[in-house]
Amino acid sequence: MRNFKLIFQYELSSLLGKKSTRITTLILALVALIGTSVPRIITWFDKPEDPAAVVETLPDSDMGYVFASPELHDAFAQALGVTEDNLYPDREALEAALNDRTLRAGAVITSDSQAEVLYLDRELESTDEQALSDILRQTHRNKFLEEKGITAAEMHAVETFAPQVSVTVLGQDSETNLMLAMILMIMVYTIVLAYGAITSTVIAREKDSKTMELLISSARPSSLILGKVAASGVSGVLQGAIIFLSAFIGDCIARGRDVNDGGAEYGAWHGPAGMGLVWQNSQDWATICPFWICAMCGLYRL
Amino acid sequence: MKLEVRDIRKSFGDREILHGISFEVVSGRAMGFLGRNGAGKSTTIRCLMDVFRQDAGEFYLDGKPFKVTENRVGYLPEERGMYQKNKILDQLVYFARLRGASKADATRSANEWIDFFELGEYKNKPLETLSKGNQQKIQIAQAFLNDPDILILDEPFSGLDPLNSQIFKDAIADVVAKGRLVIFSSHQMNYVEEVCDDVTLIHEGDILLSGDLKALKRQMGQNKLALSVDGMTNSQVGEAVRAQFPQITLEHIEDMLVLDTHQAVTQQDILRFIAAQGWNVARFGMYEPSLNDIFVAKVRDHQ
Repeated sequence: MRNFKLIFQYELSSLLGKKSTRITTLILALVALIGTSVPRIITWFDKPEDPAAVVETLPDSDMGYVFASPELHDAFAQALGVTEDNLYPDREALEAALNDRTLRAGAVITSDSQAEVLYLDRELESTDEQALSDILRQTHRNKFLEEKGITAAEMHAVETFAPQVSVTVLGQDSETNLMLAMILMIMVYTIVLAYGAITSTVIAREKDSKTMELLISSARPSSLILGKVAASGVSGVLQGAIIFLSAFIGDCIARGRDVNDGGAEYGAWHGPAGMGLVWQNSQDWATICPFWICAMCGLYRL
Repeated sequence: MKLEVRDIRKSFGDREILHGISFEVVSGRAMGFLGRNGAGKSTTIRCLMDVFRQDAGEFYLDGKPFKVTENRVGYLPEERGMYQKNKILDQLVYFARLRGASKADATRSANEWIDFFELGEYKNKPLETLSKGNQQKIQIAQAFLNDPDILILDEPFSGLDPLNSQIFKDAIADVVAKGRLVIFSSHQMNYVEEVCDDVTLIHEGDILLSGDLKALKRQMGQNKLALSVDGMTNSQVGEAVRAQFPQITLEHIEDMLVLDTHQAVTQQDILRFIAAQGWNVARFGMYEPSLNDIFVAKVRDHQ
């Protein structure tokens, strides 16, 4: 195995020094980081929800309404966006407005649990009946809660209650073992397939470019092959580690935990904060990115 | 140091390329390994370098079986190739270390040879950024790394311009002067004649001759005289000589007439005849054949 270490080091530095390797790793790490943090990113664009304003409204102004009684009008007019312009006295007047195309659709509210939607020409994507049904249900629900003396905000708080359940495993955790086994299996599969192919290509290219004749006259073929295979494998593991690390950070972001505390929930490792690479009380990109960049640079220096 | 090639045989498929060749190379002398294209030069060298194994025979160094990885051997293959995308210094250091040099020695040696070929400004650039001629210099430099005891060069001058050829010849002369063993394969006779002390001629997988170049020239030129006369064609001179000495064989080589006396006529007899003719002699003396003449004559005899 003479020269194995030298061949391994040279091949590894050559592989990691390749622009294509660096760019591929960076792209995959970014994809992993962004992909796993998508749920949190989506919440950044969500407007804060007002628990009191849970009643949906139908925004269509080209929809007309007929109410069977003034009580029904009072109960639903606001939620449905009813004005004097789109309020009709009876079904015949509504149908007439639909026929002369003043309206796109119409609704006849006969009770707080019954309604009818009218179209002249129904389009494929028309969902007015579904929206109307939701409004009737929501209004019915709010009325019921009001009768019971419960406010909508109180009900919302009950519905969104998130219990904190922690798990302490004193022995072996099969779930963790399964996860580890799955991750290892995927990594080994990737290494065997991808890096076996890469090693074969590298050797074929060396033979083609006549470098092999020089190498084979200076080192044993077994050392050459093993050195190249080992370098390809380690390069793959390093790439995998960078991508996995990116995914982990993305996952921390997605779960909305403070990285300082959130990391502590991943077994014995206390997260990026435990490594002293992020500032205190932070969970946003500004703190994650420097850590991530440091980690990548550190791995490349190996 | 003496490298012996003993009864090497090599076949590819049903075709035997080397038919049991044997010769010797000693250190402190450059040996030119000559032959036409396809004669078996590169096959012999590849067997020696363990690129592939010979079917029979053995290589010995000072009486012991020769193993390339256990000796400091510099090798320039006929088909040259190095890592195109890697930095020049890095890969030269790598090749030197593969041959057993420490990192410090490898770096020093690589820098020396890069400077020798005046490529210092490119040493931290990828090989592919150099011109083809400069790439060849780097490939030659890798053969000289780590002060090899044995230097094996397969067609080293192919593709080199005259200036680089001269630099390379100087480098080989330095190595020979240090008492190293040099094998130099080529079909370019003029380079071999300039650089080598010994020659081995291979033809169709057989060794036709092997030995000291000067001795071979003397041997091949024995009993031969070179003659040319101003104002006369070689044919006119030849007719007059043959009329006087019918036992002499005549050859027209370049611009002179070569007389083979077969020891039947002395040099003095011929000299007296020339004087009697009153010819204006341009050249008269012992004939020493060029390496090219020896090569052609030997191959012709073999065929």
